Amino acid sequence: MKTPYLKSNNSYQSYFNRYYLALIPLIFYGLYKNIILNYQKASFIYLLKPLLLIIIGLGIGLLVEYLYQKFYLKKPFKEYNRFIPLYSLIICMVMPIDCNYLLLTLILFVAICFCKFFKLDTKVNVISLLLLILIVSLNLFNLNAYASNYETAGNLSLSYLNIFMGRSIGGTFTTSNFWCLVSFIILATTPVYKKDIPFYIIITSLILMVIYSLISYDYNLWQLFLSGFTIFGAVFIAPQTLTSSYTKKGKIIYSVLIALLNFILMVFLHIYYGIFIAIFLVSLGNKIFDRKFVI
Amino acid sequence: MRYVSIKNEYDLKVSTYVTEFIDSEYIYVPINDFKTLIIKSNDYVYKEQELAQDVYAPVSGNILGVQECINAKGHKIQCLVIKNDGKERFKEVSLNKQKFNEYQKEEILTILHKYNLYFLDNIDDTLVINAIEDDIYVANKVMLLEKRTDNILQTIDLLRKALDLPKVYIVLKNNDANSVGKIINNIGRYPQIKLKLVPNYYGLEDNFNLQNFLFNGESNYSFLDVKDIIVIYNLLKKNRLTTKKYITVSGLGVKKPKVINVKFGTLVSDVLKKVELKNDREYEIIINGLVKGKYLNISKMIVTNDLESIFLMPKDNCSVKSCLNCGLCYECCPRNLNPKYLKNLPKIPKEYLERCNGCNLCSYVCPAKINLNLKEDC
Repeated sequence: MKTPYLKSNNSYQSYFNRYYLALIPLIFYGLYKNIILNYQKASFIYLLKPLLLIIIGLGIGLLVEYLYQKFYLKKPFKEYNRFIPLYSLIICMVMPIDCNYLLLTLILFVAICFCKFFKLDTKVNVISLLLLILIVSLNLFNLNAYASNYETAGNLSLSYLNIFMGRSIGGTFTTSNFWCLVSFIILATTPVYKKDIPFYIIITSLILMVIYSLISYDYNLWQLFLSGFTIFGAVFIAPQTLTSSYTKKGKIIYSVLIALLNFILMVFLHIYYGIFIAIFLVSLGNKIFDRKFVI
Repeated sequence: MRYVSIKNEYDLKVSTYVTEFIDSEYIYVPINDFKTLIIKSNDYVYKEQELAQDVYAPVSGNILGVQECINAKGHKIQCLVIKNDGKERFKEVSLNKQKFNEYQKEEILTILHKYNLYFLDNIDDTLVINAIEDDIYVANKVMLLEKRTDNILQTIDLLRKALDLPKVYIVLKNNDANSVGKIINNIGRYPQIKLKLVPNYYGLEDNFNLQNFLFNGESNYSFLDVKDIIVIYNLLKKNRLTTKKYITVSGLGVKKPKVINVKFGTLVSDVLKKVELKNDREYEIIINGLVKGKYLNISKMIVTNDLESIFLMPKDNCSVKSCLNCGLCYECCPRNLNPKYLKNLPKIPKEYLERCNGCNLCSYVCPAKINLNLKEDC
């Protein structure tokens, strides 16, 4: 039997459009922070770096998709899977402004090809996996510097509000928690987006942080929480639809586990990208959580 | 659970009058058990004459024989063919002597039991009359309320008195302006009947879903469809069985969509002759709505109780994509089922299959346009 003649507005197209739309505020903020605030302290070429990251992100995604359609499926490049360009763009947005772009391009291309051809995108959270590969390999070659010229030259003792608004050191386009929350509101308007997941992750993280602050009197971790990738990861990476839970209870377990693991990694092991490790590990078990509550 | 409204994509307004079609040349009466048949070929049968156990003739005429037809679900059924003489002759004309307003509970139940109708047996607290139509392009109940408002309200009031019910509600969608207006204009004479309006959510035509929506699943409410009220009215007031029903014929392939009052057992292909069809391109026929409807071949299809609408629509070229794992089908299911999970099972367990009412909301909301209907083969 065919699908019903009448169809809702929910579609692949609308879902991806909303995702790209939600990334725009962060891209604009990243351009403002890395171009406008930087223009007196950096060369012209340096100012093009944020744009280059966007181009690399979208370009590699589209290239891999093109190669996959043309040479693997042997189909014309008309209707393509928009997941890979989106993943690739998000990954490049998280990358630091001063990383090695050649190495980033090479590793990203090889890693995305591997994920695409071995269909890993339906099994694990590919964004967090690729981010971990990139962060680890760039750190190995010591080619990863998060602070921009403006940030290294300036005074970094920022207020919580400034950190929340995105002035802190971090990924090129991901430091603004404020714009992340605006993006969350944009994404939450599409029913396909699993808005419960970021909501539960942020709430659980906040509860854990409050309890820990009250017990340990250590307030520095709030800086780490706000300047880190927690909110960006919760909004854009954790709800990645193919590898996150979809049942009500499954989503709660999935989110709480991510928040808990991220808290442990961030607070006790001081890993600022703990959210990516947490998402990657928990995404491996999402099918188990769902299986418990399928009906 | 997430409630969903169906978006109105097409301008398919039905005409304000009902077209009568009661003189089809041949009428096909489904027979479940031929052992109980009490007539033979070439016999003359009167209207409402019993043909087999619980099977009555909708017209008068001669029995021609047996033929295989299909019902609205696409299942094959054996039917008795009657050549309609168009005279609507009754064997005996016996009007009820009882005044309509003076029926007692036992009398009503006795009359209904005579025709194996038991829907009033377990009503002892609050009665809810469901006048909701899920499909936004189907107007059968709208027309029923438009044409027979007084009969419906009169019958509901009789049931309230006879069954001694403390509360009676009639439930309508709040965007159904015509029906709401009609009921509001007439309900003043029946102060004990309350009008309840619900939002334009899909799935509330089903009594189980309506009960969950209105009363959080509390069990002391009984539900009747507005069509059942007409059946009761015909039996109590006229001592007649209901032999006709409203069917909406609509779609982009129909020049003027309309509701047709048609005899049970009429061939659907004959019904389509009553509407002006467009010949500009190829159209597909969809039976019973644009959300839960099926694409069926109507060449031998007859009008049965479960046929509500016929739509002629241009070919749908939608392509199906792979599942996004978004969980919307699960979130929207009014019966708390997980269509994505159940559909992938080698065999769907019977208890879940029985719980599914085939509303097809899961397929409607699916962003990948996958058909998730568990009842597609039932």
